[in-house]
Amino acid sequence: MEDWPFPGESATLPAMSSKPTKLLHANLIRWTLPLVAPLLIAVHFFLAPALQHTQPEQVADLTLRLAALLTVPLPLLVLQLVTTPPQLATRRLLGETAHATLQTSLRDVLLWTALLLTVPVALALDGLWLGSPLLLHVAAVLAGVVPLTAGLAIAAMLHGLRLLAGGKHAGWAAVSGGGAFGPAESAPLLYLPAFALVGALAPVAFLTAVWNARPEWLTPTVWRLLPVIGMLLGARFAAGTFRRARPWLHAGLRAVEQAHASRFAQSDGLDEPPAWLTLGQSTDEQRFLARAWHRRWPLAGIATLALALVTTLLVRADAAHWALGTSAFGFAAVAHLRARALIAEPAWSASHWLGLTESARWAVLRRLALGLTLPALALLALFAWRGNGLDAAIGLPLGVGAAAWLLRGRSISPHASRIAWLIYAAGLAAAATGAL
Amino acid sequence: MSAILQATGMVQRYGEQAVLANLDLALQPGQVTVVLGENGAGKSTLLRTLACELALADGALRIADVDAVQQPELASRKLIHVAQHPPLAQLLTPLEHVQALVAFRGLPTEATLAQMRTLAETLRIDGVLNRPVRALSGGTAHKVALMLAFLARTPLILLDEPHAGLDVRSALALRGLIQASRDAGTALVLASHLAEATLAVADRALVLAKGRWALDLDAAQLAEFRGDARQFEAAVLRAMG
Repeated sequence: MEDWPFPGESATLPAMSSKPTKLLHANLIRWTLPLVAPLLIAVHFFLAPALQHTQPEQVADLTLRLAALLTVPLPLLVLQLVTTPPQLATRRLLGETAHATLQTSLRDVLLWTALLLTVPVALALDGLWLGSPLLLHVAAVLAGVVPLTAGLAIAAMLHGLRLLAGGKHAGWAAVSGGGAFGPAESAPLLYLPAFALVGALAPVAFLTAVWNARPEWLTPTVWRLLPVIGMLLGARFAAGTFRRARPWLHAGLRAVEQAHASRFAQSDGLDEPPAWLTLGQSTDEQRFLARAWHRRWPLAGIATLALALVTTLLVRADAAHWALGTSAFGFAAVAHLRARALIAEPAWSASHWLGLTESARWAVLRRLALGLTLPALALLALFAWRGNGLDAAIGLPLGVGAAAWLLRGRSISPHASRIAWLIYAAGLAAAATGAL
Repeated sequence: MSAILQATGMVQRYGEQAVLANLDLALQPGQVTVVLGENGAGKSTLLRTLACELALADGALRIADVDAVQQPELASRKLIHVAQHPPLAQLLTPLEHVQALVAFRGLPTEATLAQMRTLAETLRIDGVLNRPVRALSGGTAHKVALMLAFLARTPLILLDEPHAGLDVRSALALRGLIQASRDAGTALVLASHLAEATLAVADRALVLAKGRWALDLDAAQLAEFRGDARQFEAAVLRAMG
């Protein structure tokens, strides 16, 4: 071995694992799973006695809130994790294929989905134990939440893959299969939400049948054990689903990698941003940034419209207030992603380099972000007005957090997003406390 | 003739380490100044400081009669800095960059587009003007950034390692563009570690070592080296220490 050129430093390198890229798989998902699962079980054992003294309607309401709050952010979290370029780029630099990276991420998504859904399922079972007449309502909402979560998470996955796999910009048709769910080779994955639906509802249906036929079998001890058994079965079900889905995912990944393989692969058409994105303004500055943003996040418009549609329907139907909160959170999250995408997008620094002044850049960002911030704030106001104190407890910190996040932004102050998260966590805690 | 850039006692630090130690620099219009130095000597830091991307730790800096310490935003609009990795928008095309440049800097549209065609042909990037930057090779993207810099019509252009990633033909084309820009009265600063490549265009050569000017050669002194690039390289190496 050559002499180490730096005096006072050891020539020995730290031992590396057989798969050094694992060291960089720093997303906390995998590492926290073994910690979170027992924690959730423990929390449930504390919750169950408390719920015995709670009105069935409140139990159902809490179930719905938790289901919504836990499942809606998940796809957004997945999208952020998958499309975090430094981490992905480093892993690829060290030899990990896009294939392997995304496969790992997908497994994480499925595990998280199964794990997080344990909470609302367990609480729904508690509601069943209390003899709540809202059982069917809870089951129906779960039936909506589960496929929504799984579907959005997979869509986020494939969308991230479309953007980043191979590190190049391939044509939309080559990697989308003409739809929003990725390459044609992965089309069977569209059925994954259906599997998730069956997996979530089968235990509920089974228990309902047992309860009707032999209610004496379901002692309090049995009820407490059921979530544990359900969790184990859920993990097994998730593993089976992943095994079933893997060939389709692999085929899709191969298609994407081939589409990205050519250096000169390029978009089928360089889209112009929709008019709503620029809020009717059409200055050169707005066009430049909006165009870059739109090409980076082509599905964001559809997502926003879907959110708006769902919210409108729920408000018109005078549904439970949690729906408003969920929608508001969705809007805020999308708005945050939009602002963050703009700042992270090289077009942001490019605009300065090309001569746009600092003040003009922030004016454009504010105007673009306003398009989603205003509906989000309006929703939150509606949420607080139509709801009770609990709704306000959630809505207010959520609104403040979202606004702080949007207005300050991670690029200005790294503490701003932490503060926003703390406010959001405080809101969640207030909601949980208020409900109990 | 008044200097387009006048820096006095420039100090720049990274933590406790002084990267630029009390540097003076004056740049005249129509002058090509080459800054040479080893890797890590502080050339890029110097250019970023001159471009008002880094605030001075100490000293004074005026660019086109604007106090760059007091008004960095205004001063930065008097120049364009092509860094080693210029911040191009990856999903936009070179043509869209030019459109933005015209809009943001208030340049004449038709004249700029006409000049763009000429520059694109000279740099042989006319075939990729409608492709997203992300789909371009590193060298081609670098040429796009150079084209934008020459289109910006600023009185001062800062080029960091401008020859990096360029093929022989493109390097020759770049030399022609630098000379044409100098003839039009633009002041240019080229930071490089390639002494020979920059000798052909330099009116002044500075060697940066340990945060100070270790060598300062004017046009007459450089002319003596033009017949023998090896001698020039040897002089630069001696200055680097």
